[in-house]
Amino acid sequence: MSAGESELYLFDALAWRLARAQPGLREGSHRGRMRGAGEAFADIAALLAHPDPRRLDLRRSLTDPFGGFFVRRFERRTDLVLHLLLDGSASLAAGASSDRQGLAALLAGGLAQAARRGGDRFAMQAIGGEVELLSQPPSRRAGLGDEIRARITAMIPQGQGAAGLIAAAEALPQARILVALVSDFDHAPAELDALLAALSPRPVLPVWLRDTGLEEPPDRFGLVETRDPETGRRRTVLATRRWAARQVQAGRDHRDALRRVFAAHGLRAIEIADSIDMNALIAALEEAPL
Amino acid sequence: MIGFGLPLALCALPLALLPLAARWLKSGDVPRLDLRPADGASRAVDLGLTALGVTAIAALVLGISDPYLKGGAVPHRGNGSNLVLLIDRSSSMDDTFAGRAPGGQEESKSAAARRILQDFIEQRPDDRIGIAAFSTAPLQVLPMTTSRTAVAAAIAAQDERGLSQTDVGRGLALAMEMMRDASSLGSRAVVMVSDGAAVIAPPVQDMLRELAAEQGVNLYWLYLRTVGAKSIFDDGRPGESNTPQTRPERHLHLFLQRLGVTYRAFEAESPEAVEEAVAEIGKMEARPILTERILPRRDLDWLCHLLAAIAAGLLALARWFERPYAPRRPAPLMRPA
Repeated sequence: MSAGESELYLFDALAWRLARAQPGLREGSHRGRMRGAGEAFADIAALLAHPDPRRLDLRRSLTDPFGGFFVRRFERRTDLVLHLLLDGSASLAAGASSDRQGLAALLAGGLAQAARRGGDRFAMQAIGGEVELLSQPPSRRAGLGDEIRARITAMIPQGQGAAGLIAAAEALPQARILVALVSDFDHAPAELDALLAALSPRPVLPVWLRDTGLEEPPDRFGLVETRDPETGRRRTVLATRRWAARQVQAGRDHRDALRRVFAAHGLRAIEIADSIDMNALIAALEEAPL
Repeated sequence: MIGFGLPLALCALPLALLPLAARWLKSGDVPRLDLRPADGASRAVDLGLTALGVTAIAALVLGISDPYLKGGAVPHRGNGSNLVLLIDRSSSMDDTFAGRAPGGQEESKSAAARRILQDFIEQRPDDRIGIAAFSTAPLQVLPMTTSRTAVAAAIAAQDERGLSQTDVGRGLALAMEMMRDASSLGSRAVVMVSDGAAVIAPPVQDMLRELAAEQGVNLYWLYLRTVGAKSIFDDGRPGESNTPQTRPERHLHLFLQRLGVTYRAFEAESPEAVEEAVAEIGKMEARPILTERILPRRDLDWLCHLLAAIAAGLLALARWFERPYAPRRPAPLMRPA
């Protein structure tokens, strides 16, 4: 953790920009729907409707055939809540060439840090199966990033399925929120579709924790005992070259199917394979269709 | 039927269900197995390993409990008959067919009869056979049995020197009495092998008639005729003495013909003729018969132990081939810039 505390400041550069203006009175860094003083011109209103004579639009007032007075209005900036929805089902603990839980913890801490820097509040829910494992109400206090990271690292992933995530998604507020959905997305396309549909009107930032070790098992001959951490089902597999090739191909097809589901909802997941590449993450976040 | 030498050990048999719960190989976590493709070979290996575990434990427990196939008599439907061999043990049987003491390459009548009877019973595995002998008194040698070794030993035992008298009547009565042990199914036959006869007393004649009517036996007389002796089928020249006292064989033949049962006499003057006669009897007495076969007890524990060893060997082989799904080598959380 000693190294981790400094690591979180690397996330300071993360920034997100929503496409739509948000309602809200609190001062922040995102485009708001409230009108008032600000930098970005919004529209013109009658002086009586918006009695701020300092912003009197002389040109419009002089040319008005009815002799009315008009003032210019500007967009006010507002803040939002970065709500991190973490899929804490048992598969989060499984991994071969990555520590997915550590990645999730680091990412959550970093996003909390970045939210604080950007003037946004940070909230978090970790859902395992149908149980809420961790929850953090919206907050901007200092040191939240480290705290969140420590709590996720200590969490024991459990449960199966996406039902809990869907229920949590439905309960989220609809405005002034950006949902960061951090998951390994070991879901069937139909499950993912239902989850994204539940999140639907809210801007969503899916973060996909991938593990290349599990995606591409080595093709050495042998007997492999596999256990599904979510269902506990066990299966012995005869590993051969053909089997490995088939696994790789099936994994590729599955990921393509999930990407199509994301695309159908107008989203593009940020894929983190094994470890976080900060530059790629910043770039992906810049381009994310929010 | 299967018996167990140590049936208490079978209490451990539920242990064989252990492989259904506990897996043999060490598992690694792989999420969403249901979304990953499974091929037929893997499914077979999966089931096979569990089956091997169950087999190994079950076979071991069975092997310890010492199973065996119980022997015993098994009803057997064969082709043959109930036979009583009635053998003449009078001293004249020790002579050759020429009426001399055997010497050189000649064999005595009793030796020839024994040899031919041994061959005869060997060809008829389904017969129930009893053996009786007669000379001065009738003698039950072997009750009705299906055991070939006992019959062969009993026939071989008839090579002691014979006695003087020839009490045919009571010998026949004994042979027919022995038929009471016969299987109800199948034909009954008494094969009498003798080289002479004697007068049968009237009370014995009455008894024989009763017994013959009661038992319904087929009667074969294999008359080993010494060269020069008169034929039993021949009444002799007119005027020649023809009384039971002078020609007992002829009169025994006549008596047996009047007995009211299937009766046939064979006259043989040489071992070859005896063989022909015996073959003839064999042909006539081949009808379905219900007999018993004795099965010896057979141990099965070696089979169980062999099975357990093979299953355990295959399980050891599976351990040999065990490997993790993917090596666990977590990358650093942050990729160095």
